[in-house]
Amino acid sequence: MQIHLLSGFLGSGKTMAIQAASRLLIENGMKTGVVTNDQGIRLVDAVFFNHLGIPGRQVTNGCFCCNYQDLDDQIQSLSETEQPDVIFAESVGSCTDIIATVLKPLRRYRPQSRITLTVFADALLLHMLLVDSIVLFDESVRYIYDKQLEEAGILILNKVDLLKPDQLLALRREMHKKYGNKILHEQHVADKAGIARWLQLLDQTDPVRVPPSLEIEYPVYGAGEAMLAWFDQEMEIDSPSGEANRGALKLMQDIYRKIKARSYPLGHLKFLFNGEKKISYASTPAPEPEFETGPATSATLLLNARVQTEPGKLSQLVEESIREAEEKSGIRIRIRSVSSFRPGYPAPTHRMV
Amino acid sequence: MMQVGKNRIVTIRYIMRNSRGEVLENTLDGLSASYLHGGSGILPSLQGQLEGLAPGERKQVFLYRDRDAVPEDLNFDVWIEKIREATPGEQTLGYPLTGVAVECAPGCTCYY
Repeated sequence: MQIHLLSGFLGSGKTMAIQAASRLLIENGMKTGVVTNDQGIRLVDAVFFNHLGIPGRQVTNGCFCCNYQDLDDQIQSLSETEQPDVIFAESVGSCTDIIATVLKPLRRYRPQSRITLTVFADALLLHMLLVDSIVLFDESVRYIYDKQLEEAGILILNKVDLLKPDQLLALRREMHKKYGNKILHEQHVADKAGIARWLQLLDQTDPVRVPPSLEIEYPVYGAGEAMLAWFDQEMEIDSPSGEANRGALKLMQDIYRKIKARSYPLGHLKFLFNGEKKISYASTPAPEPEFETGPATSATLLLNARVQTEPGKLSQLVEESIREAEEKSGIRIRIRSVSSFRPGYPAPTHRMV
Repeated sequence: MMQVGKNRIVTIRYIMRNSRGEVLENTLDGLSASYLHGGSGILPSLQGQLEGLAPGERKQVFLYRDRDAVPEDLNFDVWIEKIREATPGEQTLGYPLTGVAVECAPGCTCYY
């Protein structure tokens, strides 16, 4: 049995590639199965898998690396009930360090199976990041993205049909400069020959050669992130007397001043005001942003904060500011959504360097 | 209040059933799903039926095998959870760049 692991960022096209590859394999008389690492396969994808005759299993309670036993159980279940020739296992978009935590353990504990890893990347996203140097992510997310690419033996530049010819040329140049030591393969979902070539590359992967594990110092990698509380909150501000905009401005200033007064180191503090104006407060001494606001009976505010403290303390600070703003400005603030936690770093079941 | 429309990131929860009433997917208690309205993340016929809805609103949506390029007739109970403007990067790419962060195991946070 072959087990093909797929890694790659959100939106890199892993699910569609599995569908396209499965179609080809089924046409050639092979049985395939899929293990996904997501909550559902997103809307009607699961139905398409069923109708293609591709049995599926899910690892729903977390990434493959931290839930290795669950992954192994799902592979076992597929293997016993469906006897597939090929299993595709699609990891969650933020996973990296797959070689050390999934591929090597699978090779050790399933020596009869042929295990491969392919990393997928959306060619348009790669172009934006590498050629245009656009900043699209927080540093921590970019770190994960870069580590995924670094880990690749086979790196798929997916959805290349979305690039103009000159963009593709520029991307090829950058990719060869940066990732010339990898097998770079361009494809898109409608390109049957490209998908077939990917499957061929998987067949040619040396099952004996042990690919190098990523160099990730978990404590170092996790430490910076783990110290920051993440706090995101969406609010709606109402004021029949037209004070909604001014109330929102005061609330932003008050949250910032409270963070400073308590000497919490600031990763970033950003607000999206009325869905269009971005307001950022800096950690370094800088004048507070100022802007004119007209009268309004309603306003919206999206708060996005990364602050070095306990998530509970940050949440309490924001609650205090809201309470005070309601009392002083006569506004009413409704919280539409809130997300507060402190990210850690992965605790994989196995890590084989 | 913001409504579902072009170049907005829409977060939904849904129950998907087939024509026999069997539940194929239920995201009410799990992770929500986000897509760029006007992008290629989910079927255009599904997106079209969500147009104009606001957060908190619910709609029953039908997709038909003959009309909507789905393998079987499907119906969805869809709840609109959140709507925000897409960033320029997301508009170019056609999908949301930020996933839902979930603490999947002690000390491990994944983005779905």
